[in-house]
Amino acid sequence: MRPLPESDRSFSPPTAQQVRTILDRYPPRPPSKLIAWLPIIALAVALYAAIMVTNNWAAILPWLTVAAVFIALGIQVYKARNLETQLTQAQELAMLREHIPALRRAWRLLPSLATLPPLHHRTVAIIAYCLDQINAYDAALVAYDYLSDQASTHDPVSLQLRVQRAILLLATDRLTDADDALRQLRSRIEPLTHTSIAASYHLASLVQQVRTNHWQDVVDHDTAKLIDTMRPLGIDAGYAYALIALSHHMIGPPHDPAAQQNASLWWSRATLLLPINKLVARFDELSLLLPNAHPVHTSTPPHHAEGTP
Amino acid sequence: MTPYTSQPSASSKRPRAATSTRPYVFSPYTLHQQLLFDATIRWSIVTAIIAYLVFSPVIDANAPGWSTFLGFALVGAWLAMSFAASRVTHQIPHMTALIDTDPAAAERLLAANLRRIPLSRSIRLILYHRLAVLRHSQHRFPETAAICHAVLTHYPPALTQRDPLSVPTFGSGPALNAPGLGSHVRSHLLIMLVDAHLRGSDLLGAYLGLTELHRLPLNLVDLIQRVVLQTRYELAAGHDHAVLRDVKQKVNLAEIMPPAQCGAMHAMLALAAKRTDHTTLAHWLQQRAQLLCSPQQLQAIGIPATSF
Repeated sequence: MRPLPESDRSFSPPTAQQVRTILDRYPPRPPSKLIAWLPIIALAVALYAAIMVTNNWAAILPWLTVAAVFIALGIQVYKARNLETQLTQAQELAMLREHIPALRRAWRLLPSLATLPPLHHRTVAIIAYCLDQINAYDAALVAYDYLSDQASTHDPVSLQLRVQRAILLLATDRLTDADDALRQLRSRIEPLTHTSIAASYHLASLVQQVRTNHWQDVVDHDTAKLIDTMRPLGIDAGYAYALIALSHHMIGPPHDPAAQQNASLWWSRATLLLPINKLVARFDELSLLLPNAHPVHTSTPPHHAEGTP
Repeated sequence: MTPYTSQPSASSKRPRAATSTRPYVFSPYTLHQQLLFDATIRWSIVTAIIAYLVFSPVIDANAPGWSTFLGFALVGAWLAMSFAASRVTHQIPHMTALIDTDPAAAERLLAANLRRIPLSRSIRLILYHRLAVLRHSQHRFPETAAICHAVLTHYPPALTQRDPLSVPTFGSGPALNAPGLGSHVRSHLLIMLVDAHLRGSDLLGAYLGLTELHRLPLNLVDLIQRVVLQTRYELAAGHDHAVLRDVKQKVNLAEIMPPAQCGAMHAMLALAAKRTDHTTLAHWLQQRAQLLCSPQQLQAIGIPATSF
């Protein structure tokens, strides 16, 4: 893993209260209708002046007004494009897993984007995602709540946000709230087979079963079906496989070879997709598997001599 | 690059007056004619306005009522053209959404708007870009390639250039260039063009398209697509060692792709590793590919699970 730069090592994530404050202080507000109509009003006034005033100097007034309106609109468009470019850079940093710089950039951009609601929404989504990834769960929960409130109930994005929120509730040990959230989602998720939303929901269910010590429920899943269900998560399916490994490890007696063999198999799948430190940072109960020396794969490519025939 | 004609040349000689329910039949000749006609009308109005401003005192002196009437007529024509363009512009996001959800409706809407004359050049090219996206989603690859190629020949060239041999760098702040709106459409057209060529096993066309893509500043999403296309091209051309160059970076990049594409990328790298006798690497990539992609998905991209 690349060492963090000095600025990132001194970084401490924002608290839930700080996230709430910034979201309350800079809510999205569409530009006022007066400002939207201002160029038209200015042009109308200029036209009226051109008709009514016969003075030679006044004749150039409409043209000056037209020029001023165009310059003002041009500056406005330039500023909006510049902000969008900066936001795209923050988004790309988040995609490249540079969560702290991405969070910093999005956090600084948020106040300037209040008058551009779609960009404001994207910025909050980046903040929520980055906070989630750096394990600042309480703060992420505030941002996800905010996004859920803004999204339409029938929007698939809203479902994804609610599943993500349920996972965060489980991560912060709010088991009753998480159970309520997952129950409400069940009927809406069932038709969505082989989608990332369904996969996230199943991951949330696995987390719930592990957090409530229902190990048997986890190991009872059909293996082939489970891998198919989790595929839409990509490499994040490693979290699910690690939780299944833990369940196999916990359910059998310490020296039960069948249970330990299953645990080893799932743990090797998990570590093939994700590094151990990332798995343990996300679910600290997985550290129980570490002293048992289950075989691990590396999640980075094995060394090979590049370019040699 | 070779010129494309997706339809019989006899029918592609002039714009067809098809009904709105009939699919839009693309021909490069039609596109050229439409752009020429649009430009002629637009510049005629501009010239007329300039002529009016210059000669209005003369017209006023000879025929007092006519000057005002002419002025209003010219302004009216300009406003009508702007209003039509504005209506089409507002429909573009809706058309884009329909391409995924209701392709038949998208086809009807695109056909109706593409037959409008006059339109501004940029709006017409954007509409043709959406038509290419629709054809690509319909798996009509020869027609996709034809549209992309024709639109690219009319599209303004990219303003900035990127080092053609550069590879994405990770963790160094804003590593990627920020392309403008026009260059994003251009890069997307090139991505569809290369994909269509690869699906039609036209490796020369794919190579030329990839060369163009390397010259453009790309955002991260387009850059990922370029890496996938280049890997497909190199695998198809038998450049297996080139596929394995910077394999660690390629795996890192694959991990941020959508899951199915991530699995497909692993499968392609595994195949190259197997062909070049990098057994350990091939095994590692193959195991990952099998966790990320179902056998059916691997089959769909032309790499059966049994080929590892």
